[in-house]
Amino acid sequence: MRGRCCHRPTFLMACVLTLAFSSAAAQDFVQYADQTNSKAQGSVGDFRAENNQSSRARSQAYGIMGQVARPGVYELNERSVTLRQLVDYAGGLTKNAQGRVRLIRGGRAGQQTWYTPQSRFELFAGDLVIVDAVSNAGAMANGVDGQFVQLGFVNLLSNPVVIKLRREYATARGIVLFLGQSAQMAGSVQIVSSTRFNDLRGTSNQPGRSLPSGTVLIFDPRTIDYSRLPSLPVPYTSDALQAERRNRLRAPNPIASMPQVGNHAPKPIGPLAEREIDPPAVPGRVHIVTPSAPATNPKTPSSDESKETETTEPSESAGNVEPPKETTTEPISPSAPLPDSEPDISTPAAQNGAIAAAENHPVSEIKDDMGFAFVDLNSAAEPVPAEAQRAHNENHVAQTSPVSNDTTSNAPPRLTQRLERAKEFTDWPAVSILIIVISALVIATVVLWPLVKRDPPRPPRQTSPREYLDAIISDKLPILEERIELPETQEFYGSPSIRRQLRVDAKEDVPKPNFRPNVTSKQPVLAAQFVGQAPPASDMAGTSQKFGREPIQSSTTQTATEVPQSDIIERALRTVQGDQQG
Amino acid sequence: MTIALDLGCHRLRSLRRDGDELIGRSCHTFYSVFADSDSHRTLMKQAQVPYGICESELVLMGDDAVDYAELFQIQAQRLLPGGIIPQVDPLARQILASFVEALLPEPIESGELCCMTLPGNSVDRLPSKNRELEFLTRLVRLRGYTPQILSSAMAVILAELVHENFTGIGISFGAATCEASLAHCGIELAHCTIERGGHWIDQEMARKTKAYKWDCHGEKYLDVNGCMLTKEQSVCSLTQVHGGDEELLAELYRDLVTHVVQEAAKCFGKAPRIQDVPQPVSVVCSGGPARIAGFDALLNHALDGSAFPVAIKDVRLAVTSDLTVARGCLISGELEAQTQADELVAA
Repeated sequence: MRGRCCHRPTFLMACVLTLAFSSAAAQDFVQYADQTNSKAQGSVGDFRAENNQSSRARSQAYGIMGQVARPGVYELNERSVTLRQLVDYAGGLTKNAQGRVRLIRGGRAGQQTWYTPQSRFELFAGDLVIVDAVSNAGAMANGVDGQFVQLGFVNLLSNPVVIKLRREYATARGIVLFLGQSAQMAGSVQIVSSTRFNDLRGTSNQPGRSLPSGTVLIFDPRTIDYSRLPSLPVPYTSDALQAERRNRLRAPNPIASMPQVGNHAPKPIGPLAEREIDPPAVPGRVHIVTPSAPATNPKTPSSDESKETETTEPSESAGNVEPPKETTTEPISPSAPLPDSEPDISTPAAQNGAIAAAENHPVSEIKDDMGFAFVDLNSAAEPVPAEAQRAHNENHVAQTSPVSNDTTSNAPPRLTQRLERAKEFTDWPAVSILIIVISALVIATVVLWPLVKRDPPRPPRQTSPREYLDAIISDKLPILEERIELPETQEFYGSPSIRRQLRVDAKEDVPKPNFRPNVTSKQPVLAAQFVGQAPPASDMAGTSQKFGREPIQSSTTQTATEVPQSDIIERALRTVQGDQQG
Repeated sequence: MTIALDLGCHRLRSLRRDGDELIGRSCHTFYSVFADSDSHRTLMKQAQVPYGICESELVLMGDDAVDYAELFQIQAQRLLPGGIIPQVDPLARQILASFVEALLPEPIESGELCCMTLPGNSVDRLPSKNRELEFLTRLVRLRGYTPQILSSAMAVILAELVHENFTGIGISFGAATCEASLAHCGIELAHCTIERGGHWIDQEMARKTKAYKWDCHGEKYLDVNGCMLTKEQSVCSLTQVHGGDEELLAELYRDLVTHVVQEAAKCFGKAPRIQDVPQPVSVVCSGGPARIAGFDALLNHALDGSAFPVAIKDVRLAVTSDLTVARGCLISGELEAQTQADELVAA
């Protein structure tokens, strides 16, 4: 009894605290449930999100690949960009360019045009232009030799992406793995091949099929896990292009004139922005750095090659990857997002955050025996140590705004904060904890039930017909084809009339047999009659030509020349006359 | 709910919006007739192929007719040869009715809008003498929809020239006919139909290469379908031919494109309000014949070589999707439905 009385204040305090905790947790739960519900509303807002994403994507970036001197993505400040301007920025067409230009616009393939210097074909932000080659041999030019293929990615980031990849890894499955996505995603990637239209279909069903150079992969943004994306090439900027031109004028060596890239360095320019990437030899490892000599210390390059490596490597990693270290397998920054957190990408802000998180993702690098540096994505997926995680959580809760709380992490931070506080309860006696747990359950049930009952999940916002019309006009809605269903058996009336429009038997009658005249007849009178009826040789030849045969060397003609039939008649007449005279 | 119906000479297509997706249906406009026997019926049932019965004959329709024609060595017949419903073929009319019923789902409310194109040159003919228009619109009405007619070239403009404010030239290369339209801000200023299309190329190709085939009764036919398949599957480019059949194909295509461009130039030259159109304009093409490689180069060359009354900015092809025309019809139908709804609200 005394013990109970002693525990009464503790119990009351615990009830109050639990009530506060439970109500706060319940609010978080309801908010989280709302978020989940809004996610689970299907794809009602998907195309709206795509619209927002596309408006965000209008950062005046244009991609060009194929038969141009400098393929890549160009971020231009000009108000309107024509195809010719973009080709000029890309250094012009190569000698193998066919002139046909295909266009991926709004994440959809289907437009083609013909490039002429006079053409004023206007481009839109986010367009990806593919300049086709005259033949497959043309792909050998433009730096795309037999080892590498040039590929374009659409809907992966806000801008199109153009990369160069080793041919043996250029499969849909390999690329998806390289991008850190699940292998199942390969089935949802739309592949726009460089070959004819007929070849476009069916490739998606064969994720292991090798992709030719000039292929574009159109991703479904809803299936992308942005937190696992490796750093991808950044666009050329117009300022950087001008700076590059100035540098070219000053220094003849373009490599030496490249800007030094660090965490806040300007974006890379020139051909280096189109990066040569070796996909992972081991799943989870992405080779992003050009090879360097194994025995050479990368910090002290001595040869020109090592200089080039030093200048190119950081530029390829969007300025956020630290310079290569000797061996670092631990995460670089403790403030990185948790690897197992799945970002909410249903809103544009969340996508911004997710993309930013992907770009700022801690990259741990390791080196293999050949001296190739790898980004170890597996290490990114490993759990962060508890202390670092706690520090990260505290830092994250302290730094992020409520909006970002709702979008960038799965669990609400306020709930996390409460959980941190709840750890202090571990010092309490076991009985108190048991009582608290039971009371918490009771109170939570009492508190949660009305909350859930009062605030049902918000119904999905009705999309207006105008929004749907805009989506149809801009070709944002996905098109599914379904098979028509006819009745299993039907009865028709009337007799089927087989039309004879395409029949050709009317004009193609078999000609009558062409008998050889019996010139050896012993009856001269009959022979003379036959000779009179036989058609001339020229007519027979014409008839043969009409039926598409070789002209028949008529035996009648030969007989007429070889056997003097008129002589036979004359001889017969003479015989008759001689008999009469005699 | 608005629905689009694209009635072509080669395929019939429908497109509608269902939630956040567009649902398309399509089928070939062919049928084939073969003897009604127990073995044939058993085969069809085992293969789960729907068939019709017509006076001791079995009738296969649509895609199945094309697939099984080769197997049974019979000639698949077109439902709309030359874009015309044959008067002496009651079976074709019944099959067309069956197809329209399968393509159009039950409307949610009676009288919903169905924006449709017509096969052949039916758009240009007078309604009083237009049997195709009368028959096909009657089918749509019987299904519970209100038909709205649109030319396929205008549908191409609505589908593809969004960024040009629906201003430009749309050309639809069909199987039996080609259509060309000039539009300004979504209003059709001129329209012409050229009675020559992809089927003409197939026929000429079969005639000149003497491609014949015999059916199971020993009848001799021009192998038009075989030439069509060869054309569709060929990987050659019209700009780089390597002799033989490729040269003949390129020549036929050149004839077709030149003819279409010349006829369109004549028609657009007579349009009264052509000066109102801000020039130069974009040209967008769609349709099966435009899918062959090098078609755009050929069209560019033909446009350069003709005295076209409108200045051309660029030429592009919209050939990836089979449903470009249907999407244009759907846009037109949705616009019309919204206008009607606004008028109702205003009233």
